[in-house]
Amino acid sequence: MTAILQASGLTQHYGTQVVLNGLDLAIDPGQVVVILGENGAGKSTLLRTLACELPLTAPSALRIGEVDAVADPEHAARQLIHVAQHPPLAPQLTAAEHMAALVAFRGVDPAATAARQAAIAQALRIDGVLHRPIRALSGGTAHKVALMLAFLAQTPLVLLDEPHAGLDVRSALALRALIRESRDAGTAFVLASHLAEATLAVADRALVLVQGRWALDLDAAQLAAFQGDARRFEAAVLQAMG
Amino acid sequence: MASVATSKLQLNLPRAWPLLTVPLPLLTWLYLMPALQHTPAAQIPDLTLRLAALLTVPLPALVLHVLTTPPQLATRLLLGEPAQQTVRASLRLVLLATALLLTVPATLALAADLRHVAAVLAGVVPLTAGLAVAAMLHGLRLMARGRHAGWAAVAGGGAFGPAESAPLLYLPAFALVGALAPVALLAAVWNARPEWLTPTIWRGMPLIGLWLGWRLAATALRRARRHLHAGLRAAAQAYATRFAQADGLEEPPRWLTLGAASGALQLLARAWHRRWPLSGIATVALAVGVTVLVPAEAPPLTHFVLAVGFAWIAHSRVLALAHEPVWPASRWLGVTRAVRAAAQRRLACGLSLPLVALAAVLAWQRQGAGLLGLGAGLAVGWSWLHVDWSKPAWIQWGAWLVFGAGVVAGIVGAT
Repeated sequence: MTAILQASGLTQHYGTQVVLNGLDLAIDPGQVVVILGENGAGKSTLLRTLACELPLTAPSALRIGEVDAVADPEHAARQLIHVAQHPPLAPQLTAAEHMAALVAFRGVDPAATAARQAAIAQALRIDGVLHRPIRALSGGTAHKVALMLAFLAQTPLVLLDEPHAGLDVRSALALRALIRESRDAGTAFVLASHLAEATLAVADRALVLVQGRWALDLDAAQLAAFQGDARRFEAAVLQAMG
Repeated sequence: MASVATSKLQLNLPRAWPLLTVPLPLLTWLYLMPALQHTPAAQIPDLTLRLAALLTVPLPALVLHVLTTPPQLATRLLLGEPAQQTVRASLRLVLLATALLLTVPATLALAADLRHVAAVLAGVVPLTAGLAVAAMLHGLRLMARGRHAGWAAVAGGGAFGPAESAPLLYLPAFALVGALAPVALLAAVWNARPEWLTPTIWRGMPLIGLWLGWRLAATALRRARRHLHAGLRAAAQAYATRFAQADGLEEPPRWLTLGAASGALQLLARAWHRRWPLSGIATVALAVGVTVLVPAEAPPLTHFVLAVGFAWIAHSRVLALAHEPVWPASRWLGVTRAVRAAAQRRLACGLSLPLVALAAVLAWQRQGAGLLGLGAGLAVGWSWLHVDWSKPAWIQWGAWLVFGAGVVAGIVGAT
């Protein structure tokens, strides 16, 4: 199977502070990878790097699908969609207008999307606000709009930064169901999260980021051993964090 | 539900007072100068009249803006973004109407060489105040109701929004009218019975006007504070329940996109237009008003100041365009960098070219107005430097060149 994302030696600095220190990562289609780590560990920086929002220099290497992200970051960025903690929605435009733009500019098939949009909007309980400007929505609702757009973008890779933040319980459960459904359709996910239970619910692989390096790498079989025992999983993660 | 802290309102009042009282001595002084020379109304210098007209437009609107949508009142927290946007849009609309209504009669009077422009101005002062008050009424009515309603609802009293919000409508309006009343009264008396106004009275008039305006407005607002708090709470409650959504989802005018209709441009223009619905029209209206009202024989320094003013307006618009949240959103939605840059260029042209065209048309009509054209060039050069041009680079060099030429020519012309 060809990896949808292949990264090696990813390095990022903020001034003299090394945030990512030569990370390697490969993600297959239909795989859900959850990145765990303390606040400030570099999870968001990693997602922004993978999303080609931060410049990459040698020895960092990153391929998204068949595209070399170091040589052509704009083209590579079109192979994925990144929902940051504060997604960059236009406050004056409605969710429906964002959707129309997504269809126009990302080449999304509108016919195939209409029914799915209705289903996702209903699952996330935002079907009643699709024609309101983003500025008129609460922060949590706007975040759900961004999540809906990410699921509809039809990209092979989706990056979600703290996707459960600000979601009510029902929407959080709906989000997990949507991730599993999209994974089964072949979409790969990278999630940054703090929640052990949510990680166990969706992850095929969990990585713990400490001081810019991987401190723990658990595959699907190892994660299966923690199912139903989130406390033990949390203890393992805490031990890795030191 | 957020509450209105008394301290916040008190903080706001000192900020509003200077703006409220500045027009009084200025306007009175402008009437005072010719009167001190025992000049009949028919011989008042054009420059005096036109400057008086200019001053009557922005200041009351500025006062209203500060009174109704100040950050100290935390309207964003209290009423939410839609209400604040609605009120601001309403105020902008009436400011534009005020500018046009002032410009048209003044222009007609000057064009026909009617030396009774004083009469026009005497009528303009209360007219401007009245329109500004109407702006506030309209804005606050929207704040209370959440959407547009017929004027009959206001005329009927109490039918607009919660009953507690009624003081929001009439108390600040009374304060403003009270503050401007001495000026209007002076203008009316001066036109009807100029012989009553002896030089001694003229000299004392600014102080009397200032004192009267201060006392009237201070008393009204002091007594009204409790009612204002109740009104703001009622308006906030109304917005939090029935009207917690925005009304306007307007489409951009075609001139803003210079007639183009690509998907990306439409998206970006739509976002811009909803954020600044009257910015383009208001800029042109202001430019027309200023250019028409300022005489050709005015000192070169006046023209230079105007040119800098034009530059600042265009610069602020294009700078706001460059910082629109729609740019990162469009990138996220898949608009490529090249398409974004092209759209931004076209929108910047749509915002600044009317200003340039206007100045160019007027430049050859007036002696000394060439500076206006240079000022427009300066405006374009200055403001376009902030656009994400990406390519081609020669445009940036061109913008720097125009900018530098505008500065040099302006300084040389003014000195």
